[in-house]
Amino acid sequence: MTLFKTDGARARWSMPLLALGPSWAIVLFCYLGTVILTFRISLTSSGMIPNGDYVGLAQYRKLLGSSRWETSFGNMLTFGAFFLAGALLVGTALAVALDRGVRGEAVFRTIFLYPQALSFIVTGLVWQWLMNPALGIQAAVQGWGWTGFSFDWPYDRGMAIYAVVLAGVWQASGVVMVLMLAGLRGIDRDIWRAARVDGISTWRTYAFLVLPQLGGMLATSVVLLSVGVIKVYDLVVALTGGGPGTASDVPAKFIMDYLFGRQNIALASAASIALLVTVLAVFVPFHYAAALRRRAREGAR
Amino acid sequence: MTASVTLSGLRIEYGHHVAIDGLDLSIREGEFVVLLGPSGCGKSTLLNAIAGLEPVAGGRIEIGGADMTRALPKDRGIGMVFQSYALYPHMSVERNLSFALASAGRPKREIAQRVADVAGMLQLTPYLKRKPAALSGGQRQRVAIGRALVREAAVFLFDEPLSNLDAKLRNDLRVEIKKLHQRIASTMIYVTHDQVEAMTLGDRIAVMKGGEIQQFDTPEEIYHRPANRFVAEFMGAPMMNFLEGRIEGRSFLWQGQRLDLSGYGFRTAPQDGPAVLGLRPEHVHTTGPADGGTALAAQITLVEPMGPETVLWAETGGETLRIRAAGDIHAEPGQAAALAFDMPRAALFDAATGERL
Repeated sequence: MTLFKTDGARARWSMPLLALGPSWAIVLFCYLGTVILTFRISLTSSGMIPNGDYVGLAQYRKLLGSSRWETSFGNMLTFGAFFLAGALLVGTALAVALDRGVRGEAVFRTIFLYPQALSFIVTGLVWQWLMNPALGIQAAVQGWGWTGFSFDWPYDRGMAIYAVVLAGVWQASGVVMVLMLAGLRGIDRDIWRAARVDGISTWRTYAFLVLPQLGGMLATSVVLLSVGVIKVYDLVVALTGGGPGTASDVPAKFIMDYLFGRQNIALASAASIALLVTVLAVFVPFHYAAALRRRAREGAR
Repeated sequence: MTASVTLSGLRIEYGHHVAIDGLDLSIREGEFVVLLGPSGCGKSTLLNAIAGLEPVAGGRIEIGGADMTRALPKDRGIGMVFQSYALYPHMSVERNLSFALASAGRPKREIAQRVADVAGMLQLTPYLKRKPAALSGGQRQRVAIGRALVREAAVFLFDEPLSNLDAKLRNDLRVEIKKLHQRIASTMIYVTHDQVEAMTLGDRIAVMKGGEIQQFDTPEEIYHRPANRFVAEFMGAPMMNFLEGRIEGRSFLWQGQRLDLSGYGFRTAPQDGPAVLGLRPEHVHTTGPADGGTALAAQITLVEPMGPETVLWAETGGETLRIRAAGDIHAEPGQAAALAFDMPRAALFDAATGERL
């Protein structure tokens, strides 16, 4: 028995292969292949170029013992939490404000979305200037006579990562706003009329009737923002340079530094794998839970 | 609970466009009134104004004798059912029913009691824990009705509640709504473009066109004594036949025929001149001259068997008439027929204004 028996059978097999082949090749060789390659390098003592000297998990032990990695990783968690919460809150608040029917909505929508059109490098530079004590907001306010005013987060060890959060929220809120606004516009207008007849206040209608229906939009926003959290690099480079010292370092910057600056690609590879494992540890259970919920819902129907 | 609804001089504007101007309508306690008309006739606008969802530019709305023109929707003692159901999709049926009461801060025991009562009345008890997505269209609309019921409103407003349902469910729910009205005896105002719903449900029907009420009367009056040509055309399927002719003395002249008007109840003394004779399909008979009416020679062009009745299309003198005949009639296209008109039950309209004569 042959696999390709008739013309019809061949067509049935060859067309999907032709269509899906290239993308499968890219997934297999580019994504999975490089992950495997990276993992192999992380087990060696490679310096500037990869070598075949396997040293087991030594690079991982070194990584976990590194205080700079610890700071980077902690900063990613801090940035992630505040950036996600901030962008979602600000974006949703802006969307609700626009949904109430303000004059010149299109203008505001454009203004709020505009930061998204900028590169993180530009955002980082702009906010570095704004938060520069010598020429930014602090200088201006002190110039008006409030000499005690201080706003120099990028230069404060404890606050530097929050400066990155602030700039990130400024840039990302617009996208959340657009998504949420689209969701709000998709809500059946009769829901609002029913709520008014029922005497439910505007904020309660948003909080209990409208926003809970925007789960899909919320999930989309969270995924988009989360990707931004994992790969946050350029914003940090432009805004704080990871400083003062390594106070606002993040994993992506740690990896780039060891890859190209410190010529320790084995350690950089170990850090990459550690980052990948972290992401998987968050998203796999999340997706599994979502799939379970979906199945339960379909079961109930 | 029940209340009367009185609208006087009601005016509703959209920017510079006047949707409704100087409309009066008086609805008695416990009455079932249907607002009927083609889309864009202002019936939904009127309902929204009664609900307080549409701002009123002028005039007065009274519910239960109290001025409610500027009152908030929640203070008007109304419950409303929407075409799209407008259920809260992420809440269970139980939560959908109880949410408004809980928001108003009513005691938990009272809420539970009312939800249980309403769920029992609408046969929703087995579905209380389900989400709306897990219900059929008819069940969803029952939940929407239930949500209006738990508020114990005096006036219920229905905005085309059955339009999204298929024909069979529509019939079932129509009967349920009628039973519900008999049971709770609250005032109900019901918007629809479906004349069957209007005829079967309404104590009185307000036929609307262009923001004005054309006729406000019982279904029998509306059907048998339409106030003008629009009402006559809009009500009844197949549509009424309209014959353009002249009144001369006690006769209607049409295509050289002299039709006797001696049995017709004129509103005012008739004047000679052009007029339109309206004949319901059931008032055109194919029995011939035996019953004493004027017989017209016609030719059958189309036969539509409907089961209980058969609709015949017959041509005479260049006009095509619709005739409602018995279901067991044997007729073929091309067959000749003799037609007789039931003149005392016809309707005469002024040729220029379309008003009933």
